[in-house]
Amino acid sequence: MSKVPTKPIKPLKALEKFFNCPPLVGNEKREDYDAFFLAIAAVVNPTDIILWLLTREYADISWEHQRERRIKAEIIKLKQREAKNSSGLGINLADFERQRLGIESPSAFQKRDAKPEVMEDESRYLAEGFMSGHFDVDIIDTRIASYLFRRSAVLKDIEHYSDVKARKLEKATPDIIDGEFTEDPE
Amino acid sequence: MPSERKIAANRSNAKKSTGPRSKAGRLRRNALRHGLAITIRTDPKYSDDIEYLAGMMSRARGRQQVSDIARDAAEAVLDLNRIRKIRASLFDTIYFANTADPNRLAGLNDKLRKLERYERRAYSRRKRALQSL
Repeated sequence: MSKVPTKPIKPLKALEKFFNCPPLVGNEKREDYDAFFLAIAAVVNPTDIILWLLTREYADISWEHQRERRIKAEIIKLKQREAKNSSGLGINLADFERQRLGIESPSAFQKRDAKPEVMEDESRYLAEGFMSGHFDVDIIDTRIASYLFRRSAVLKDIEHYSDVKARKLEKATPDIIDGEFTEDPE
Repeated sequence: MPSERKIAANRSNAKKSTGPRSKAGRLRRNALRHGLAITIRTDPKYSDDIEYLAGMMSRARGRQQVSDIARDAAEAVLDLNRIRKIRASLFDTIYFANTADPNRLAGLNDKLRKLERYERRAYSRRKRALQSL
């Protein structure tokens, strides 16, 4: 999962009760979450209960952030498929932008007699899919930004206890997260 | 320490906050719908966990006595856990369970936005408490 070398680490026994039920949804697996959390914990190497709690929170936020990124990708794929299935509908980029900014009444999704400017098919479907799903995507982007903001806040809290641990975690995060995100689905 | 004037103003303002006024408003029972607006300290289900966590946090700071600040921190940590679980259950019941509903994402977004307000408050409380612990 992660490119970060990890040494085995176990959460404090006293905290097991609170770490027992991670907020998993859909087909997310407990063992994946545990491996993700322990990869982060191995970087921080928490020395007391407060650092363990902050590390857990950092892992939870990162996990939820990844979930939103996956949902965003799914939505775009779904909308791309929808665009492909209804490929008779042409979308004009300029019309779409005007509609988005509220300059002109919606005309972008109306059926056109003439074909729009020719784009490579797959790219066109992707663009159309992105456009038709942009309201949802915008909302998810806002949530993703909010997760990143909160994760930075937790990192600052960790920094309050140990500057070195916070720096190590900040440096290792892209490897752990991207490792998790780019893993092939089973 | 707040001034006498501020205490009097707080008391006077608090008297105005007496909940919903109309009969329909009272029947909606908004405050009891998810329970996030009330502190978990009042919920007996959490009191043991708050004491346990507050005790461990106090000991981690080298204190033998459990302070109210440690309780505040423990309460905020448990509150954040509770909010996270509610969010997960919203994803499960709205987004993942009902995949045929085209409006499922809009419904989920609406509920998550409301939840975020409580989460931000819990974060601030935890941060304040941990800094003073």
